[in-house]
Amino acid sequence: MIVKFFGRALCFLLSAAILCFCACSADETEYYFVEFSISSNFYAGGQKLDNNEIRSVSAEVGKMLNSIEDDVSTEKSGSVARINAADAGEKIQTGEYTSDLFSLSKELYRQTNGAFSPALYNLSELWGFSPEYADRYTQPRQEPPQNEIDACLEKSQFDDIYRAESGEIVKKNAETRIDFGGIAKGYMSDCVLALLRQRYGEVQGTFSVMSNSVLAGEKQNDSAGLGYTATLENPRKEITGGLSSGGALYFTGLSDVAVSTSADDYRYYVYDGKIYKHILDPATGRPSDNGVISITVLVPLSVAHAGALADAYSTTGFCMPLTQALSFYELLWKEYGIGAVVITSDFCYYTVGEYTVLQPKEYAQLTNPSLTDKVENVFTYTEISAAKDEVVPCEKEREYIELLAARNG
Amino acid sequence: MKKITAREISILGIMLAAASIVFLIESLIPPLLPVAPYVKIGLANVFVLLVIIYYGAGKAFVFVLAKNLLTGLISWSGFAIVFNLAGSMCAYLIMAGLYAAVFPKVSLVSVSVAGAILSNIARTSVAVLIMEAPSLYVQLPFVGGFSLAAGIIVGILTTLCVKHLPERLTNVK
Amino acid sequence: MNRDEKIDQIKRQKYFVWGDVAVFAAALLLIVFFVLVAFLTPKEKGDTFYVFYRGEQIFSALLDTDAEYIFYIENGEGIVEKYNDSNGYKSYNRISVEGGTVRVSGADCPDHTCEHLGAHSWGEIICVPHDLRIEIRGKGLETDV
Repeated sequence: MIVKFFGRALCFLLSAAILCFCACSADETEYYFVEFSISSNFYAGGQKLDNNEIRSVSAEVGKMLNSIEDDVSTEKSGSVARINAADAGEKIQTGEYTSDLFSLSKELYRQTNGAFSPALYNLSELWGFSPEYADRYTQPRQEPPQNEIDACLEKSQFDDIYRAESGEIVKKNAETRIDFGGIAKGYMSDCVLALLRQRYGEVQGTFSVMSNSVLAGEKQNDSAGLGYTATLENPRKEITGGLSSGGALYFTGLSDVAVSTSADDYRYYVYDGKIYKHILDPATGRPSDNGVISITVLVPLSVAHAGALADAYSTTGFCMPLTQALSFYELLWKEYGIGAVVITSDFCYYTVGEYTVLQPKEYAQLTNPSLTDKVENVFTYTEISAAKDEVVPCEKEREYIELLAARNG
Repeated sequence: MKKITAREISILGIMLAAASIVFLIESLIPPLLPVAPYVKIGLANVFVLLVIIYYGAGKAFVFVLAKNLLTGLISWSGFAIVFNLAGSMCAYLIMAGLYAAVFPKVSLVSVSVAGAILSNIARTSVAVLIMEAPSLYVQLPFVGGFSLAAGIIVGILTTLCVKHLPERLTNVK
Repeated sequence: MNRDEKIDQIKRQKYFVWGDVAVFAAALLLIVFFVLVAFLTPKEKGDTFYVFYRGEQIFSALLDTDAEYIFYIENGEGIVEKYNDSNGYKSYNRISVEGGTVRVSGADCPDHTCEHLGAHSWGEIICVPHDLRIEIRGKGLETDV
């Protein structure tokens, strides 16, 4: 009797209180799925989406992103895993997402003369950048011997994978394996935009899938009158930047554009005074070594697959000599209005296209003048004509490499 | 529900007036807990509890609604109504529930402590919700401790009333 | 047990009975839980405060320089300016920045809750009647993405 009653009383109080607490606190947790975030200032049909709506749409987006990931991740058991496990000549049925990514990749492979290739999974593994090394990417390690790199290159040819007439994907070399890491997140951002447009029609607002952002429409409620603004992450924020060290450069006046950044401060290791990036050059089979440390690409949403292209183009510039990369981006600007900002290890930056790129001090002057003296301009604007393929790391860069080396033993 | 007698109506009316006056006086006092100003002792809960005891949960529900309407109209302020309604409804629910289910295994003091805690958590939650200010939740430990004390006071007052009020005032038959 | 029996029970009962232990234990558990939650909540000091009116950000300034601002509502619009004096304003809050903290040092709202919330270097201060929220966060320059 006593036990029963104690139980009753306790349950009553606790459950009521906790229910009340949870009901309210659940409302406050921001909904981040996998790597997705949507701004709270999101508009559809002139109306700002309220918190409930944001939550419900985030849940829907989360579900879709999970199903994309299941299909295209090398670690799941979807289409890509099946392709990687398949024998030569085997016809592989693929899901819609993998099929899309495959077609897009083929086109980009052609357009970039092979500088963009998704068939580098074997090389990633050789250099220790594939997911099973997740806990030890930064561990210093020797380069793999050249003969192993060459052998790996043999089984990293995207030409060895093709689409059969009937639509299935076929490999010529059983050992070739693909990994859509260089384009999948951007592709996901395209899918999210399509979902939002299907649900609401035209939308205005921003969202991000990892370092891939989409800035849809014109900025609403733009009190500063700057349009959308975007931060170009400072890849050397650990040693430079002052108070607001997170931003190397700032974009203003943006609208209807997909922005993607690739940089060498994500998945890397330092060995013998050199940074080994996770971005591998399909031509040499080695980590990119052209003196570039960060590339940001802006693709207007009027271009089909803007997000996927921004993601892919932001890595291709790492796999060409600097001058060639810059002329490649100039071509993209002329043809599609695609913009790019390239930062090099001598702490120079080059801009392609007519986008407004501001130094931290200039941006502070516009938005928060009291910060002007507290932020630091880290990178120096340089004309494209002055670019050389041979990039000599500046003193700060050597300092940064030493810091990384010391940290990772 | 049986037919309400004139006597019942008049007693309920007096209680309503008393509850509202106590409530209004209490809202004139500056916040007792500076870190969490939305929290209050809830002296009017004495009357809610008395109505639950003498007239049952059904009439008490109407009583709580009427009290909120009345105080809301007198001290007109849209936001205060939301706080008070949320607070007093939560207090009412837990108090009526506990009184029906486990009294007399627990004392009236416990019933009112539960009411005070829930009502103040509810008030804090309303502040968090309408202002989208989740960091206000860090006040909850203070809110809880304060409510515990407030609940004991209200519980003792109510018990005193039941014990010592003359029968002719409280006899509803 | 009917109503009259319960009333009779109250009259004879002591103020505290054994069963109360359960309720008080539950209440204490709840408080301990809240303390844990409050303790585990990250309290990141900000260097900038942002003023929101009706959920829209209308102003921001750094906390490193002591200053006084006034927030007021005019024609349904929230405005923040440097403080001179509060005369002639309706629906105002005086916002003071001192030694890296921000507080509301005066207001004409009915409850003055915002003033009682005190000085903060992290988190939020709210004034419900004016639908005003002051949020402290951030490191320097902000952009949409």
